Amino acid sequence: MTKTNRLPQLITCGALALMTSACIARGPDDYRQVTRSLVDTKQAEIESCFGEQPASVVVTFTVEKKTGKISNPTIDSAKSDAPDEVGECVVAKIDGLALAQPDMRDGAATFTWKLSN
Amino acid sequence: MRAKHTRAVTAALLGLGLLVTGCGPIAFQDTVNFKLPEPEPEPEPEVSHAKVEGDHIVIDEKIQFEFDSAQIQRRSHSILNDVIKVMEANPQIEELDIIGHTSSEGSKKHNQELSRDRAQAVKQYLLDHGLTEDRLTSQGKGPSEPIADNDTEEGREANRRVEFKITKMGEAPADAAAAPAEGDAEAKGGARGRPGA
Repeated sequence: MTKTNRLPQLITCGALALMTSACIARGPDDYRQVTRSLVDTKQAEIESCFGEQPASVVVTFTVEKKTGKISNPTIDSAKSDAPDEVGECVVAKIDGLALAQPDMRDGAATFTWKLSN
Repeated sequence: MRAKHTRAVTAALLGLGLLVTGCGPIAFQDTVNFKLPEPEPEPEPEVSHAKVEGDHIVIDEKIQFEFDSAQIQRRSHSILNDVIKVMEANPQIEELDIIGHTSSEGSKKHNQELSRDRAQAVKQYLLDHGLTEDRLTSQGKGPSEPIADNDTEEGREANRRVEFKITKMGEAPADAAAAPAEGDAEAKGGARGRPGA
């Protein structure tokens, strides 16, 4: 009797099982939209961070895969032209926000808030 | 047997690949735009209808009356209000004579009375809006002092007028900047000018 190596099939099935488990797997645009909706809940507060001069703040952050939480928000100083306190204010408003339905993957987000004439 | 083994390994690698790519971070970006409110437009500077020129207060529009009446039309109130402002800004004007004139149309007697009544109505308006009796006089001169040709309607229209003549002028106040002898209301006061007397 010939022994059959079932290991590759087991690995494949395991992978497929994991992929079809409870987590949502969004595409980039869907992930962007839900994250946008999340940060927009603080839109008025974020807008109040800005003064009366045109300025922009670019923030990179992670949307954590298991919790949906925004973490590690960091101002991209090279791309931002707002005063430091404006950037810090924006970061403070979004830090800790969480998606109601986390994704199975981390989101690597870059968001720009821009005040213009 | 070897082919079967290859297929199994390939399937396993594919499964692992799917697992790995399915778990990697997904990058995205977005921009949120805010707009600065439009700035408030600068208010139009108020232009006065009256100013001192020599021994007159000159107005840029005629005082309008109802036909054959001494009733001042409402649209002329702003002109009279500006005359008041000029008087208030120039306390050295001790006496202002309000003179009514008419064209030569109609009887001399009627025109004389009409011009007198109109001058009196203007004087009364100025008194009702803050000026004092001691600074104002009025008279009617009928058609006796035309400034244009009464043979044309344009000329007759020009002759129907109210004249503001400064008949007594005192010394200008010590603070000359506060109350200049000439100039319109813009120079006298308000948000853009020097304070008045």
